[in-house]
Amino acid sequence: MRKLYRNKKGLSTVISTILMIVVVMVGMTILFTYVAVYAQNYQTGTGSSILESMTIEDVWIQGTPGAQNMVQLTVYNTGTATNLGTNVDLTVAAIYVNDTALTTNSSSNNINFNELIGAGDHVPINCYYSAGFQIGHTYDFKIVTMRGSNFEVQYTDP
Amino acid sequence: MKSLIKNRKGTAEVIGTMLFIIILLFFFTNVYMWHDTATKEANQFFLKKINSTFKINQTNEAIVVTANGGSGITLSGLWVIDNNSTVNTSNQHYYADLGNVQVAAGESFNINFPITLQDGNKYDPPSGHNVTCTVINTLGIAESTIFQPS
Repeated sequence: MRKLYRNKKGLSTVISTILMIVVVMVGMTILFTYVAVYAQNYQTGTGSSILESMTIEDVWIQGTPGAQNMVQLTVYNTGTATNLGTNVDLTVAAIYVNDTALTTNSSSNNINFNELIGAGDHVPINCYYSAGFQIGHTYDFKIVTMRGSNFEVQYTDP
Repeated sequence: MKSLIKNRKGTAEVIGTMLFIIILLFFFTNVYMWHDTATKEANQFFLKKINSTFKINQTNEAIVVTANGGSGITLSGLWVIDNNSTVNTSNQHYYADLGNVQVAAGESFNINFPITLQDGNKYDPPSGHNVTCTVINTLGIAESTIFQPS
């Protein structure tokens, strides 16, 4: 037994083989995890952008004439299981009017709405335009989602 | 040739590489198939929208919704915009849930006033107020008309 322990012949071959197996296993695990996570992220993220479907069903500019800073956009997420085979929720990232970002509050510069719209939901979103709306003017409203889809509507302030 | 076949050196590496490629292919095929299905669903939805047109108009004291497309429609909601409202200095927007009522192709559906709004209140356009009525279906198609109460 003692002789066996003292015999160092072929030891480097055994160690190198074990090291090789460990390195390959770790490398493969990292690679497979990356591919699996990529596939999952693609399906729930950017890949689902083609399934996003939303309608801006109402635009309501509010305030007294000359001081109309607030607009309530009511959106309807039509990405339901009935329409698309699966429910596709979406998150509103930003809202623009004539390419100017609207804010979430009249007294802040926050343009990140982060508003989750569930499939089939009608959701009103209040947003603020610092420049103010003017009666008789036509505005282009654009809603951008987290996945990068754009939904637009044109509205004339009555 | 015989010695080449008998030589088993490197067989494990070849089998390992083949298995690795097969597993990678499985993952990417899965993503591709999913993307293909999603694209087909999106196209089907677009076709459904094209075939689910409708028109709305006023008949007496009702809004008449007529499905004039190739397939039936499901009505989601009604927006009534009163631009002459005295409730506020600005105009008023009212929403009524139409409860996903089905209208077969070629058929009509009457929306009568007063209508129950989402908040439970009843709304009847005041006499002399021309209100804009917008009907929206479950596919997101909206049609508008001016309603003139007598």
